[in-house]
Amino acid sequence: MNNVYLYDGSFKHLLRTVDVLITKSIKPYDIVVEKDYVRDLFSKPYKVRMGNVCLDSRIKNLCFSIFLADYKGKELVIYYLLLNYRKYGIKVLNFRYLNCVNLALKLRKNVLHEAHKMKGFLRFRQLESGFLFATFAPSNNVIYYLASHFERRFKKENWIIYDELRHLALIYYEGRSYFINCSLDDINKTFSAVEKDVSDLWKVFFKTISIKERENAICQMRFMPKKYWKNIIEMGDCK
Amino acid sequence: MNIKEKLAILADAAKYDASCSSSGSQRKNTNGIGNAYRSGICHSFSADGRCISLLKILLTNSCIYDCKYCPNRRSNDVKRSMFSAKEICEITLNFYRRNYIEGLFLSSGIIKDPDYTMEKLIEVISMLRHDYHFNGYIHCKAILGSSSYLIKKLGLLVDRLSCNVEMPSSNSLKLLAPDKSKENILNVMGSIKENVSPFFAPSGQSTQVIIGASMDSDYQIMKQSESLYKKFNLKRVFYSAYVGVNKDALLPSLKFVPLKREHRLYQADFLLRYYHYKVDDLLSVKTPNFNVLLDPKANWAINHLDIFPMEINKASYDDLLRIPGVGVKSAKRIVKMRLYYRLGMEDLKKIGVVIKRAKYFILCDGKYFLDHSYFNKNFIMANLILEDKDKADSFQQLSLFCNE
Ligand code: SF4
Repeated sequence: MNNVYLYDGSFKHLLRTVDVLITKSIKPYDIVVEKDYVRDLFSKPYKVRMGNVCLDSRIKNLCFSIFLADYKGKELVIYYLLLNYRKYGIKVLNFRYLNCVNLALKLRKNVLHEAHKMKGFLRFRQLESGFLFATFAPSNNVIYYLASHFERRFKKENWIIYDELRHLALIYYEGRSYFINCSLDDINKTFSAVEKDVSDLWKVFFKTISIKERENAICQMRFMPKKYWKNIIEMGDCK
Repeated sequence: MNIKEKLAILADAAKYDASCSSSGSQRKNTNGIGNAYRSGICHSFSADGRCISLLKILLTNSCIYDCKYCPNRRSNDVKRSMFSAKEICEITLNFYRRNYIEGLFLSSGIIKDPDYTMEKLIEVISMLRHDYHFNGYIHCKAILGSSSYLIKKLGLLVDRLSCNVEMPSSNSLKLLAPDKSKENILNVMGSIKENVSPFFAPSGQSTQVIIGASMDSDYQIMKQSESLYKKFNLKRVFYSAYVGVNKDALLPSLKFVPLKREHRLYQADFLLRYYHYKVDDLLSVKTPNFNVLLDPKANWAINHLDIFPMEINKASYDDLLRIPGVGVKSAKRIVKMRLYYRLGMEDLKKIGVVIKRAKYFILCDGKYFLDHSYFNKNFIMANLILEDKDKADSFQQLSLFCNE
């Protein structure tokens, strides 16, 4: 029988599950989110009770970034990474010949890279209510990285960032952030009266600043992949 | 004139300035809006593939000078316009709040006299900082020939203050920008350098050279950059391929923009700043220009085959950096990882070494990847050129543009 471990989808529970498995020297066949688990004839589900895990912050942050990655099987990557971490300590991060280490570092790079891109590509629109509102659809779940960035930057504004794929809203109101699961329709998206003028002005700038003699669509697309265009207002009209 | 038309004129007039970075400052958001982000952020990419990070505009495109290469020169018959301080503040804030930009890049044509222009710039920036409580990134141009107390005043308000050297030699400057002098430019750069501190242009200064409007060689251009880096602690020298905007007997009539050349200069600039090369390693009076077909690093390696192939598990960090296909990051990783185990070909791939370039130049545990008889100049060169061509045609310059 294949032993499959279920967790509630939170990072905390995943970490706890992995920790218990390693301590008890259990090798899981798979670790999956409880609600995604489909019963079959060959597997038997188990669950570990919630609890705290003490972990060096460097390795914990690495695990967290893997947890946010859009990668099937990331739970096992974390499991094998921590297994080797127990054995070798923090220097394990230099052992790229281990597949789990190499993969872990790649996933992190990918996640942080996308988070960084989003800090630039996110576009806010001003709503009638005064809120600034941005919606995006990142491949990885990077909204957590945006939270601290925009909290610092737009300290005195009220704003909402909405992840279309995960139906997750980050709401910043009067100096505090809240994560809320909701659908896009729950948000009243009437734009403020000036919104069109400002975004039109931006499009004028965007068009003007390019040097015609140097045009290079491949280069542009390489840095600003097409999958993001939908929400980048100056690219909205391009297809 | 409405604000759209104004912006179109004054952004168009600023677009030839290549500087785009927004990095190096750690300005905090003190009770207002905005902050600087240490490593810089690109917010968009224009159709020419260049990063847009700052609202890049001129205060005015009117100018009393007549630099031959400049679209705003006095003798050109173009529409002129000027922003008010309030207009600039409003646009900046409106764009910034929507996360279109990382901040403002402000330069100006010279009106009346340098000091007057400088005071106007200071008025804008100071309104933006104090009345609008804007703490985002600001890059401002220091006006040539303005008094040093004004430079000091402006530097305290901005994240970066810079002054363009424009030309690779004083002769070309005399010829093409008769109103400017090299001495003047170096003076401004010198006084910025003296003042740079966490409170004065904390992200330092950069400069720009126009490529292909004068007869100067790559050697002259790079020599100038080398000495600028040394003398003024510059963060960056930007190279801007000349786009034939003006007709003038003194200007070359370019059929195309010398993008390839610009690209080679950026690559060489990287080698100076991060790879410990000297200009004299790369070029000389005898070969004063870069090989268009091959990047400067590969070109150097080809001409120094005697130190290759190099053993990855032994070579010093500095030597590793000389291997084509090995970058700063991968060299650092190699040094760190080989403390624990001996590296083979597979490991190099994982680290991020570009194997198809490096393979001609390295040994892994004494093993060479190709037949030894292929270790000769012609074979390697031919292969590298082929590979370089495929890549360069489509992507051109820009990976080197934004980061510092
Ligand atoms: S000083 Fe020269 S380069 Fe600057 S705006 Fe005037 S004409 Fe152009």
